[in-house]
Amino acid sequence: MGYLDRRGALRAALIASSLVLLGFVVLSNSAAAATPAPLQSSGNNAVSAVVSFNGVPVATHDSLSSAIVTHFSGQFTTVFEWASVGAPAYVNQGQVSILFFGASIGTSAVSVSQTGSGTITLNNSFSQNQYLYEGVYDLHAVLTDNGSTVFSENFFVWVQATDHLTVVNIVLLLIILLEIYEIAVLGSVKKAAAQLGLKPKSPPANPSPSAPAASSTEAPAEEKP
Amino acid sequence: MAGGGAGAASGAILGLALLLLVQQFGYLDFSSSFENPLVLLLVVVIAFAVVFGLVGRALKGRAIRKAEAQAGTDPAGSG
Repeated sequence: MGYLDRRGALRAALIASSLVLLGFVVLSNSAAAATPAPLQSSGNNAVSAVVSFNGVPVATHDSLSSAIVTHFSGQFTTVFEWASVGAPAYVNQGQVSILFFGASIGTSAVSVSQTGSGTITLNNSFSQNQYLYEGVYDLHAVLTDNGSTVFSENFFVWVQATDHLTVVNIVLLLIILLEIYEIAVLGSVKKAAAQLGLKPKSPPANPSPSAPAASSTEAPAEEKP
Repeated sequence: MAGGGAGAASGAILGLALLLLVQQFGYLDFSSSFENPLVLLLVVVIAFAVVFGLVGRALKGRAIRKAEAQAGTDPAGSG
């Protein structure tokens, strides 16, 4: 049909990218569902810990609405202050995973060898995502004993870009403006007429005075015979 | 019928883009009323598709009627 013109191709690309985003969310969601449930203790290795993010205890920031507000600039520090509950526990790794829309986008870990109690400090940065996207990130803090989780805690951080200037925001705004324009253009009479092959009714090119003149020239010719 | 599909497609993309933008700005709390972000996403996208599908159909119908009136054709097709 040859209908897939430039605008059609653009729309197809937009729909395809939206479907990809949708798929990303579906996959992210299934990945989030596969995240192991928080485990506070296992066997004799009962551990209690206080986790702080840039000096703020994270215990009360366990929902999106209570996310800790921070900015892309600079590093952030996560500190685990842990202690055994009962028998002395052993911890050999502290780990922080950053999840966005349920998908892990980065993990950092530090190996230690601590028994009974201890403090573990991790330094991370959101700088790799600084100009790409902002929003609420889910952070998953875990202490492990030779691979088995002895403590885990989830908390949320709202990372903001300066003036919300990120690539994703700009692209989303452009998509929104384009789609609003596309909807508005549906009401265009010109476009509808062009699609239907209609032309607006216009008055005759030569006004009526020429018609009598033609008939007057023909009249004598008829009289000849 | 005409314009409904285009309006619905635009509405679905618009809904998705708006939702993602709100999420980017950090104002979207998925946990408040929906446990699953996908449910909210689908509800918003489908709602936008339906609403803008109807809007698109109305706009297109109006534009066609006007174009036909300007061209002097009978909208009912009897003339």
